[in-house]
Amino acid sequence: MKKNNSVIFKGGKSGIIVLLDERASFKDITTALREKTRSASGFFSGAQTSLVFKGKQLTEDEIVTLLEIIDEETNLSFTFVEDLTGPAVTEIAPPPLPDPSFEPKPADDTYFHKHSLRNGQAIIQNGSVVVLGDVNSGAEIIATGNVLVFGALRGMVHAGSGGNEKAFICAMTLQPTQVLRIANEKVIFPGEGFGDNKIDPGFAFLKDGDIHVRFVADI
Amino acid sequence: MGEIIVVTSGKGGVGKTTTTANIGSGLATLGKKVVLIDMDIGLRNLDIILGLERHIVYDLVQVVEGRCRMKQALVKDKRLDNLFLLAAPQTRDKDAISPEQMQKLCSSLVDDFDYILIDCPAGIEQGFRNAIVAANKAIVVATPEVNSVRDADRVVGLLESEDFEEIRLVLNRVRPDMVRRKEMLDMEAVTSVLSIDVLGIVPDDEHIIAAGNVGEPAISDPSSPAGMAYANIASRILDINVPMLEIVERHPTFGEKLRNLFRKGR
Repeated sequence: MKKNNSVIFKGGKSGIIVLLDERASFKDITTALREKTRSASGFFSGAQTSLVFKGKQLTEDEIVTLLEIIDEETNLSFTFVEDLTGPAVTEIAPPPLPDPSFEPKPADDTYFHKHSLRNGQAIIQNGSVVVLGDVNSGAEIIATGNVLVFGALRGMVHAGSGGNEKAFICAMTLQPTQVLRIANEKVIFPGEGFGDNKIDPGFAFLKDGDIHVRFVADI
Repeated sequence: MGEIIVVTSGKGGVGKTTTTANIGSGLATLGKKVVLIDMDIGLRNLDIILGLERHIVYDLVQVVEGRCRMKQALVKDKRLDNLFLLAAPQTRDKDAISPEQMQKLCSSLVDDFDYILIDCPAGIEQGFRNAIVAANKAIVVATPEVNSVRDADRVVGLLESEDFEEIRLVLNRVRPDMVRRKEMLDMEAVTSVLSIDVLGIVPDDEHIIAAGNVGEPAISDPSSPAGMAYANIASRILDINVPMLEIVERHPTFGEKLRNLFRKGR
């Protein structure tokens, strides 16, 4: 005789889940349930628990029948019975695993500067820096992390100052008249004194020991 | 209660003193009672531009030190009855006055005048600190040059950190021909860096040098384009809406061209 797998018990977080085969007849299910509960009576050792039926659409009478079987065969007492109708949830795509190389930093490592940075003003940050404004020529940002400027970047920026070669510099308008540095490399932006040479928005990153500057759209 | 406005720039030689003298004269012409304070201690200049050099007996440090009364030190202008000058000493240095003393000096004037204009020295050191301490409004003077704008940006940053109520720009010595040839920054390039309101644009004008030498601010010369620009600036300080002077290249008229040809031929 083929093994009757139309009923499967699972221990869930909130109680016992009874998975019912959608294709099996109700008669098969009652038979299987009686067999399973009898053989697995240790599984139901007198605990107070909740019970969930899953996988097959059941009428109220059918649920009562099944509960009676469980009641006859075990000494389980139910606190809660739930009928989740619809087909059995056989396989749920597991949530994507986090990239092991990605290390989220605590939020307070990023400094948000909510003004423009003018000539003579400086930010030195252990972490990343976001400027909501311009960084004018003569202003300096030195950060061990990334530097993002929501405005024009004209001043001196050193990202990844601790040697972090993955650090980058990004600006709505990349228009540096002064040196840009990432980790231990530097780049001297081409252009004349007026600073009319610009990339907006621009992105500077380190690759193979050289700083590359690109349009953000080209990355 | 009067307004205290500091005229500053960071960089030297961009026209702070000229701007102070002309705006002060402009405000006085418009009926306001104005005092100009020369805070460039040791490098006294404002009196020369105003043509008041020979009238100065006492200076502001002597007032602070109690060696004369304020009334004795205030020099009335030659032309305008409601314009006064408080001169800087010639032989002292910037440490001759403390920020607290400056604060006190200005508050003793604030009830008697509508406007107190402070001519700030170049730089961002003690002299600058003394000049800005009592003011809550500032006029930043810059020329359309990268170095001048750079220094103005530094000064604006310092003023912002002192919670100034109003910081406005006077762009001085603009030469439209050079702007057209892209040899000089245009207005947009300057304001995109400084991002402050523009109070006025002053064209480069030979009258300014001539006027300074004879001690008659250019604003009193109706043929001076810079003087006209300063008159507009004075009106704007009084919240009178004056459109920006369009600074255009002056092309010689047909008659002038003929005359020039005639002159060359001689």
